[in-house]
Amino acid sequence: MTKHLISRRSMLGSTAGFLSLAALNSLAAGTGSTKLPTAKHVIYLFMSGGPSHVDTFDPKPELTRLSGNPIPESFVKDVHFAMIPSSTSQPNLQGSPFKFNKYGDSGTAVSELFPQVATQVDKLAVIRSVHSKVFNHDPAVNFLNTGDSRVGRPTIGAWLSYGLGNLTEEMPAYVVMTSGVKRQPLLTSYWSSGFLPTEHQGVELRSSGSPILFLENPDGIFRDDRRRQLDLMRWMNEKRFRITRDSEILTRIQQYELAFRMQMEAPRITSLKEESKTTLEQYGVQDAKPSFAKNCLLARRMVESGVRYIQLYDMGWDSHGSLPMQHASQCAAVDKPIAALLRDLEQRGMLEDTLVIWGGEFGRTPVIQGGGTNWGRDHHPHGFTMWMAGGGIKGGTVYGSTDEFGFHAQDDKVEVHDVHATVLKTLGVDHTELTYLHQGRDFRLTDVGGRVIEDILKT
Amino acid sequence: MNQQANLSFIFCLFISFCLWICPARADRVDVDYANDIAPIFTKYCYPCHGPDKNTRQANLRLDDLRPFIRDVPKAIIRPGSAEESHLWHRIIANDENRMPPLEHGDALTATEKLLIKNWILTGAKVTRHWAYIPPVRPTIEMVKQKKWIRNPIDYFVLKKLNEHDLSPSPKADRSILLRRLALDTTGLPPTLEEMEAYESSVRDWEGWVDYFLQKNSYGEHQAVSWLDAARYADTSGHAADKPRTMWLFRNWVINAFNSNMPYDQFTIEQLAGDMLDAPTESQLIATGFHRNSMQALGNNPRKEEFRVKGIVDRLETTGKVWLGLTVGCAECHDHKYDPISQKEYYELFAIFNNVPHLGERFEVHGPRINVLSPTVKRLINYNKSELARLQKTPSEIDQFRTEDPAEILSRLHRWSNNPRAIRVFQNPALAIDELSLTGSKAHLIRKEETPEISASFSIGMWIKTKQSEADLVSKYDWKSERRSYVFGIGGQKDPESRPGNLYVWLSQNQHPFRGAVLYGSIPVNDDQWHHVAVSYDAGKSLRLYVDGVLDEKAELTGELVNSIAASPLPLSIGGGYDNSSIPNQFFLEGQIKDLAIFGRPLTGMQLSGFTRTKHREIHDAFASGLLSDDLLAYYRHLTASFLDERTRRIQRHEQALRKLSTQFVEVQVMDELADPRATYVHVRGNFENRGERVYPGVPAILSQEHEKPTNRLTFARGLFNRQNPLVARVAVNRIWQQYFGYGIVATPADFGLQGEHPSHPELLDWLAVEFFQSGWDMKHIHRLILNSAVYQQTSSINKVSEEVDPENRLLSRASRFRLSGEQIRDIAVHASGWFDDQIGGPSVFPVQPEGVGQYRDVTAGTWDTSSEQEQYRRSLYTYWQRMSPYPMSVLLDAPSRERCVVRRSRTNTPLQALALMNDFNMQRYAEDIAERVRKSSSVIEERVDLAFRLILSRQPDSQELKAFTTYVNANKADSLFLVVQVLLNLDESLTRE
Repeated sequence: MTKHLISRRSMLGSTAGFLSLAALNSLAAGTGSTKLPTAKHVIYLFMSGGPSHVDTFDPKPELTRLSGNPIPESFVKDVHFAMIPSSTSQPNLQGSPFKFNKYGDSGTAVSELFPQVATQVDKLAVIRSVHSKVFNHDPAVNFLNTGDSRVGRPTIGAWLSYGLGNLTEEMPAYVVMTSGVKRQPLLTSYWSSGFLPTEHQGVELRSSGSPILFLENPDGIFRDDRRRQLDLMRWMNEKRFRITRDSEILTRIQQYELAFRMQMEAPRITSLKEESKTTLEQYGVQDAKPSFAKNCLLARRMVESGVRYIQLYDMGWDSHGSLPMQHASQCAAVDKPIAALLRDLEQRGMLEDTLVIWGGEFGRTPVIQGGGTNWGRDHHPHGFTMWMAGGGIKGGTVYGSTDEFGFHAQDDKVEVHDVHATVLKTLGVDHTELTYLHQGRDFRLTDVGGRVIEDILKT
Repeated sequence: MNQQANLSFIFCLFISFCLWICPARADRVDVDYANDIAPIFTKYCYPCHGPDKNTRQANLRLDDLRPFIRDVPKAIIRPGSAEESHLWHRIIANDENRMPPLEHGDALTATEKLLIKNWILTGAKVTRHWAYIPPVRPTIEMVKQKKWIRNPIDYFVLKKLNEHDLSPSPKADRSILLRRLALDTTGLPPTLEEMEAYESSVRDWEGWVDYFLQKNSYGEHQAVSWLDAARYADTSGHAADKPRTMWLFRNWVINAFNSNMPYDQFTIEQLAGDMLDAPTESQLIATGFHRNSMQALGNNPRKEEFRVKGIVDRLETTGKVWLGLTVGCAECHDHKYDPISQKEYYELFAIFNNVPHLGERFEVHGPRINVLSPTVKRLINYNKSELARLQKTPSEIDQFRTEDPAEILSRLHRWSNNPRAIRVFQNPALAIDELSLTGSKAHLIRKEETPEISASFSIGMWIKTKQSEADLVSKYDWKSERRSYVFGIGGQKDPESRPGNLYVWLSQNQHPFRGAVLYGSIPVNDDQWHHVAVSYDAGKSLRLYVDGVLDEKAELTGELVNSIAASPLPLSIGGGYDNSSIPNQFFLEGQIKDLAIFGRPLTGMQLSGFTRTKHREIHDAFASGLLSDDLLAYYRHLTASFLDERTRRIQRHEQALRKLSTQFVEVQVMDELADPRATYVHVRGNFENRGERVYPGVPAILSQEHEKPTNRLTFARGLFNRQNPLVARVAVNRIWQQYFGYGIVATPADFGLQGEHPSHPELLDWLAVEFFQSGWDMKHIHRLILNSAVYQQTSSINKVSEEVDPENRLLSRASRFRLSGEQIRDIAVHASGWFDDQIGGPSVFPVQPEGVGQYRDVTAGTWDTSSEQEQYRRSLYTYWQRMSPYPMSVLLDAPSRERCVVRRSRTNTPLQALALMNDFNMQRYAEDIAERVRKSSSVIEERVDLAFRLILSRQPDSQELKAFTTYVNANKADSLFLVVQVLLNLDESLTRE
């Protein structure tokens, strides 16, 4: 999480401090096999529950045309649905009720659910052919975050904290924020460090009270009290160090001092007080209440302060029923903030080294679940959309496609490992080289796969 | 867990590190294949020339070299001649012939090449990987510095030190040693009494080792790391994360350690207790080990996938815990490094594949049994014995009906001399014989012993005190809006109250007040013995009695409500609450005798037995043998309630038994299908892609002979076959790791070719042999280590050892490492003075910050903070919810327990500093300690001294005493709290030195 004194123990044991220094030094010196990064920070906008691709970024006229007809058998052979009963062997196609239009110089099609993001479309590389086999929420979120559907592997943020360290000492390297309507749970394993040392796990930014757990002093203990406590502690610790010569003690002194500074700085970084009214309006921050809009603006502030990896979970995308209504309100809550974030990052010259990722754990079925006005769509990992922007991404790109109904990924199929390889590439890391020896094997984020999607990167 | 990083840019550092670990010089002649050469082949060559037949190139396998070593020209390897060995030319090539090929990574280093060359030159002998050869007891030769040696462990360590021209470090300071010993064995610091006894040398070191190993807290401490390995949790994991009752398994583990169950039995019961002949309930509970695997709800076709995942988890865990093998690598393909084929993996899988998977739709679960918890069992026994006693001796109570004056007199006489004799028949809900209170601390009643008072009640006791304001019995704190009832002297300085007289408050609501207030008119604080009592007949009357006589002038205000609120406050005797969760005010200084609380109204006479006048009257009558009408009436009144009581009590016990006998705890256990499932190789680890059919079997590497048929039980028993090369080594290595931070093998779950080489191979083997020859006696190994001189060295680092032995892998000193999160919190709880040392039981819910776990699934249940008393239980009992673990534990490196962990990481971060200084409970414990210290003395130096002893288990030196005293004097009122926080956060406090 932070750079700290290198103790000898940490070389054998576990600490990122050492690695981050090593990694950063080597980047600075241009040595090693690492390529120059095009991004330093990542903001991952995770639409938890699974946003429908065919209603947002993947227009399917054929689906609309044949809406209401059973899907041809060839499409659903060997396909398991999560909730659509297996007795429905060929569920009906369901066209999108939302209109698509082309936007920007690139003419990328975006549905009317994202009118604001549409204005930023020339910044996006839309990948329409991501696919996997994992169709339950928590294994799928794990897969997107760790490259494996089982628990126990480190998440992207943990890998980055471990491999690249942080660019600030006043905030953790890996921050998680949440918003939205809880339709599916959020689990702490989504920001776990897996088998990496626990210091690399994500730190959840709290929506009320102190922004980081345990950041506030107990009632009645003021900053000078704490300072005096730390002084006495330092005196004792240094005394102990002179006897034991254990450098871990010096690290400990350092960590307590950092905590003290974090207490001062983190509340400032995680507060919107310094933001102008215009900015607040641009993002759509209306009040102090937690919201995706607020989180987007906070994400920008964190990038400014040097946080390496920020993941925003927006809950409520799991529209098994009432999809038109639910997706309309989900999109309405995120559309303006995302657009504002992209614009703001660009205006501040930060977009060029900040990679923004948008996506869910899967898409939603082009076939209907339920019926009547309450119809919805089921989980759909066989072909879905993600997009990236900033940080060396070639804007205005559309990569890959699904079949005519948006069911299976078809052209230029993208594995989740490929997404990860590409993310690491923008950060200057060769995905085959960021490894960790665990249980007798070198593990990596991309497991045994991973192919960088060169076509969406600026050359 | 091996935590070597492998980023290429720091690669060279690790090479030097690895070389240091095996401090072999490349040009030496005694190159050993298994130690020196195999690791090189493993690293560079196995991916294409190793055990995995599917990726093997050119039909060359370097894990099974013998066919390729031939004394002919142009052999792959020709002993004695590198020049004529094909392999040599390929590894030194600079062109496209180079091995490994350029695209597969770096070339061998010069040192590695030289090692291979020397190995070929000296005959290319192939020896097996050390861990696959069964251990034999190494011989002990003479060494220098013999005097230092206390047992054979020291010999092996000293031998290694001598080889590196190192000397052992001096013995650690006495106080450090005691703290180290206490923390290492029990997880807790020594108590003040233990420190005192240690200082006055009541035992020798060996005596102290035995003392701590005998404490029940030993089992609790050992359980913590075992529960990490067993991935014990209170919830099922995955999104649903449903609560499950597994705590009986935790009880089992604690008890097993405490009774020093031999490791073979310990293992067999956990792996296959259900398959033993007529398994006991305890043996079934033990099998919870492998039922700790996570379980998803499984509402869809992935039900089978999750079942398979559960078995994969069981194999991974079994491999890590018993075999030190990374069997998981063979799930998708033959193991790339260790000789475990994919087929063997699925043969092992077949052994674990026969657990029934029950339930349907969302109710998927495995086998479970209903068990009566220890508390319920105790209550059942109690009720049964009471019932038996009541039924067996009806005459005794029936005799109360006697009309014989002599008998009545004799009885009255007997009872008046021993009021307790009556109490037996009265059956109080709570009874305390005697309490002596100093005016600084109340006596707290455990939750399960607290009578449930919701309406009528009565309380009686003898007191002797001078206090004019003191609470005798309280569950009442109006300031924090937690009202119930309180009985005491005075009335908490209420303006209406009458200091020195009795008072009662009771309320139907915790807030706002609705109930009765009663102030007595008879002083009871004259330092004489008085019997005081209160009796409440709900909705009808509220009465005070002094010495058995009704206080008729007591003043009642308010309303005689029909019920009394149940506050969450612990029932406090001799102290009250003043906006607090623990008794903090109105303490009684004095004595209490024969306290009894009843869930029904009794009279003062029935409560006290006898007034003093009555006592005299009975004596006189007994002496004269004349029973007056008065005394007869008195007798009838006294016994009336007993007679009713008997019938009532029989009914009550019968009712309780009926209720208790259905209060099962459902626990998950293993079970074996009568008709085993067919097992197939899962091609590329995909369970839907079936390959060859396989049958239960054990990997050849284990050389495991066992009874037939091969099943979980025979597999578990076979582990303890002497030919098994791994089980004993892996177990003693894990024990070693507890005491030195690292195992003799630093990768405790990987003894294979990719694992670390042991730092002291002979020591490891010696301990392993000692372990099985002792009958797998775990405490024996602990004792050996604790009694060794190696263990007792100082952990301070001197210049020489810092240079030669920076990581202390040679053990030129004791290790110094941060304590676990559990230990750090427990030190504070322990020092608070409120430590609850109850062993076992259901998990508890300490206060955790608001909002934690708010996005868990609804199926996951809620975090209902436990009672105040339970805030002071050991961290081991904190409810473990996998998907939102207790935040402070996680920050201090506790695993989520989703999967098996045999070694935690140990980090040092600013978030830990924040948690330790600001967590609510850490504050509370600091406040308690400050309060305890404040009350102990009015002299600041003495307070500081006690704080040091409680937290650091040592006295401050004069410099420290001065610094802390100055600090306390210079700061504000709560400076003791600040000082306690400082002490709790010192590196010395967080570290085991």
